[in-house]
Amino acid sequence: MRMSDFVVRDSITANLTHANKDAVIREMVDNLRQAGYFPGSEPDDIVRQIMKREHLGSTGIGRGVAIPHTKHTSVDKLVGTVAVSKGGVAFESLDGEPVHVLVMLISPQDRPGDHLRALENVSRRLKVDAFVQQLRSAQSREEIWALLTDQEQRQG
Amino acid sequence: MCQTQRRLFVVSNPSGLHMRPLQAFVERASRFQSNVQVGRKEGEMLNGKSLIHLLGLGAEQGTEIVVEVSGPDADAAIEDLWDVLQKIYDDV
Repeated sequence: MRMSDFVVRDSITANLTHANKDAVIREMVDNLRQAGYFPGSEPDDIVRQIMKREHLGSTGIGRGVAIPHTKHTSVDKLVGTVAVSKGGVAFESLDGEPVHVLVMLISPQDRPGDHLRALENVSRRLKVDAFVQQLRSAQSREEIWALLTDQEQRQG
Repeated sequence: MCQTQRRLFVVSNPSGLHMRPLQAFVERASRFQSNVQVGRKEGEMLNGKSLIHLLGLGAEQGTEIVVEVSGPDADAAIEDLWDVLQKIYDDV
């Protein structure tokens, strides 16, 4: 599985407008809605589920990266989005540092394997500091998409 | 005195080793001085004190993983980490 298999290109943002956790989660879900996902009232419930998961323990995994996620009945395949915050988001991360790169995952209820493979894929990319720095410096959706897909091609 | 402990563990959690069980593992592993490595059987060993590395395991229910601990408190660490791995987390 590659990031381009589940990240919705038109939902990527290089410059989050909000800076607090709740608002950023809502902004990312809204970016997915604007890209054509969740036409009904699902976004409110998805935001609620993601925040519920955050209350069990932050998904800010350190080094400026967070992977907020949930399962949700409205998706039949894994859906993801990527957002970059230039100013940083207070996310109660493991290392206490603000988060600059966020990868959101919304998984179907009955496909734990896909969720694990997405986590595996995201971790493989984001453990490379230089890659995180490149994402943080990206100025546009297209630049982020190019970074995601370029590295995939090099990795084969 | 440096000890080494190595155990094979079969993932029992229905959703596999997702972020929460791995977070609990990393948090516990970090309390020990010993070096902690985790990997799939026959696979690359990953730093057991780093969540970003352990997320690379992608271990579903039934996957065999190896936990290797070496250092002065390895005996205590392996028992403690074993307990953490047994805990069931049923959601994402």
